Amino acid sequence: MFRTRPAVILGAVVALALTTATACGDSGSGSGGAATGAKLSMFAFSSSPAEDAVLRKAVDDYNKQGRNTVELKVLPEYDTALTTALAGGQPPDVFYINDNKLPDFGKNGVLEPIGDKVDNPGDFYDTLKQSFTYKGTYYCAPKDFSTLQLVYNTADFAAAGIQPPTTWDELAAAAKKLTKPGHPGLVMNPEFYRWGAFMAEAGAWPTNDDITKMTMDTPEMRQALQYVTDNHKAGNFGTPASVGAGWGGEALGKAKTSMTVEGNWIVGAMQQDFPNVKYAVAELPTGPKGKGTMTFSVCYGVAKASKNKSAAIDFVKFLTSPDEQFAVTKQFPVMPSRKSLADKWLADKPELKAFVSGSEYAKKSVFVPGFKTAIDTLNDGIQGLAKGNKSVDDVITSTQKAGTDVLGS
Amino acid sequence: MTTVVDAPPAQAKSRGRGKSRIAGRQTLAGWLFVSPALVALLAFFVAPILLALWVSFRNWSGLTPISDSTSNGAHNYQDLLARSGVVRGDFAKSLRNNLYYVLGVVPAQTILAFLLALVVNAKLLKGRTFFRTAFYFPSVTSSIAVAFIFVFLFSPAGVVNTVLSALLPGKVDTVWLDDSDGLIHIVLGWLGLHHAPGALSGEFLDLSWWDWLSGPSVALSSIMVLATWTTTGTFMLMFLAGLQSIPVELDEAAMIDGATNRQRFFRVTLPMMKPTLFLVLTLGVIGTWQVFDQVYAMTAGGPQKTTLTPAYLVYREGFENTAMGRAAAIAFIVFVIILIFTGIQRLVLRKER
Repeated sequence: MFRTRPAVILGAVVALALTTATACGDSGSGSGGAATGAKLSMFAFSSSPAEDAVLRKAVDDYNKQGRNTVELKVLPEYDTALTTALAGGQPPDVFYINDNKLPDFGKNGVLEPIGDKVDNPGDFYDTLKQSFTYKGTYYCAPKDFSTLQLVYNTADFAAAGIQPPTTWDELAAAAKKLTKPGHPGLVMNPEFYRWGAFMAEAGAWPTNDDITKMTMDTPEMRQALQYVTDNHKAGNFGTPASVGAGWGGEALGKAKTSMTVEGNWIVGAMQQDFPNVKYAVAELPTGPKGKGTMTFSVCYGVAKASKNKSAAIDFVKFLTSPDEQFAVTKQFPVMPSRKSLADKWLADKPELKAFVSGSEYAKKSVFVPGFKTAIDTLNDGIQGLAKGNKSVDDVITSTQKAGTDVLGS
Repeated sequence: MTTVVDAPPAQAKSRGRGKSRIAGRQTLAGWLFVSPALVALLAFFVAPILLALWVSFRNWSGLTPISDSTSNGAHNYQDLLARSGVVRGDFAKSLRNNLYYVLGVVPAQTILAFLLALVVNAKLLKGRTFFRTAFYFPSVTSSIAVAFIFVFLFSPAGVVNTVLSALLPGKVDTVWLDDSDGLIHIVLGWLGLHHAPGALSGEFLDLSWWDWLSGPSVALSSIMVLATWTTTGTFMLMFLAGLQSIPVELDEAAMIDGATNRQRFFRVTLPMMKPTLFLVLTLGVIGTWQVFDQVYAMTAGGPQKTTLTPAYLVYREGFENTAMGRAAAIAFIVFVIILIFTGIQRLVLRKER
């Protein structure tokens, strides 16, 4: 009953913002301080203890070099904490930014554009650079990335005598064959960040390439949505919730399904929670317009309001250096964002090749500021399609409308 | 501090009350004693609320200091109430959801709390203290912890489905927290009405009348059960205090006059409980219009936005969608709604008095 209400939090944020705004209104225009001897603060989030440990080691290694000292804060309520710090005018010098948040940060002039200030910037994947580019400015270097692919239970495949499916028809047939009561052949989250891979394979996408217009109402989009919906209707695809799991990886680990569509993060989760389940990763099957998947990435942003920009850039240079990036991604199997590291990374984990292959044709999952409302509407529709209480036409119409509202054309 | 302490005596003098030095000193002492609380109240309550009101008229992302925000006129309010679009549609959905939530939870928790209070107030009940503690227990447990326990209870293979499967013919495998079907829609479905009849095809605030009348979704209903369970204990305690403040003589007098148990309850106990009832209903309405943590922990507004509430929308727009101005505007609209609801309630209860 008597708990902190969001309105009060909001008020507190505002109050904080006002009291500190005057104190540091002039920061951000300075030259950026010296490259050494600074005390830097860094905000980060972490999905697992393993990721946490890897990051802490990287920071320790940097601190040992003696140029600057970094204080790392790994925050559970990341968005709230970062927003509060930014609103207060005293942001951390370096912080993680999820790719889908970048447009908002770019639009509001929060970031110092440092994308090209790291060593050998041409080495990073172009798709990832695009994810962190807003209106022509490449703001920050990607930390690492993940792609979506088909993750399957090898024992189930062997028992059913099937090979990883390579076309939509094969996938539907495989899912059908692997379906048992309470055990759909494939389980995936009912959201754009999974279904989008199928859109890409059909040559469909919610917006055009420039993100100036909604392109929901196309035969390709209809085909993609219809394909996944039909499989859900037939009971061969299911949602994690319907089998009592929180996400695809949990469903696979608990043997509630034989296939799922997930990204690199599933590797760490399976190791930790379901070490005995044998699985493999294959590329998603080819759709009517070829292969398709999505990338997800995080970058190291440097705050425009930071007083130690030079030192912060030095730190980001260190983190994105080939050696350090390799060390970080080796343990926690997201992929290095440098092309030159792909082969070295694959050397001791050839079984994850499909994720790397995805980088060649993956689409970025980033739109424009405020597009989240449109994605929410699309997700709302996708949940309805998976459940069977919405039609493909409903979803196309409502998302087209919601997106046009945001894009303004 | 000193400024606060200095100001009041002058004020008191000007009002002519502090004619003698002693009275003036007393006023000073009074202000001095309340000043810590007053400062805290101003700094942590009044100031943030006024600032949030100001923000609700600004275009502020929350990603830069507030001095960088620009004036937005009444656009934030227009987007929510007047301009057709996805923002208004989402807000309408959140209002619909919360309205059903209030209509369900407030009567349920009030009646249940009253009944429980009557039970634990009964003089013949053995182990009264035990039951009082037991009924109050959910209220002192962290709401997030309780929410997670309910996630397990309501999971497809959870306790709820197991018990229902044992009691009902056939296997119950409802996915409680992921079912977006509205209860009223489900009942209409049993009666053979699956789609909106022509009369309900119109829209209000970008939500069709048919969708306004959906009833709470199965997922939202599950959260309502949880909310009722957690808050009943607190209100039971209030009712209990109310019951115990009724003088025994009243009851005895009624008994001597030959009143039956039923008459004594409806003619003596219930009228005496009216102030408590008003308190419980008011707190209930305020609390239910602000439901946030259960939604945040259990469903994040889904499935299909059927557990979206204004409070959760404040969080989503402010912190995830970088629209702090809009978030503040939502908060103030909800504030007005709560005022209206409390006003209606006062009116109704006063008439009967």
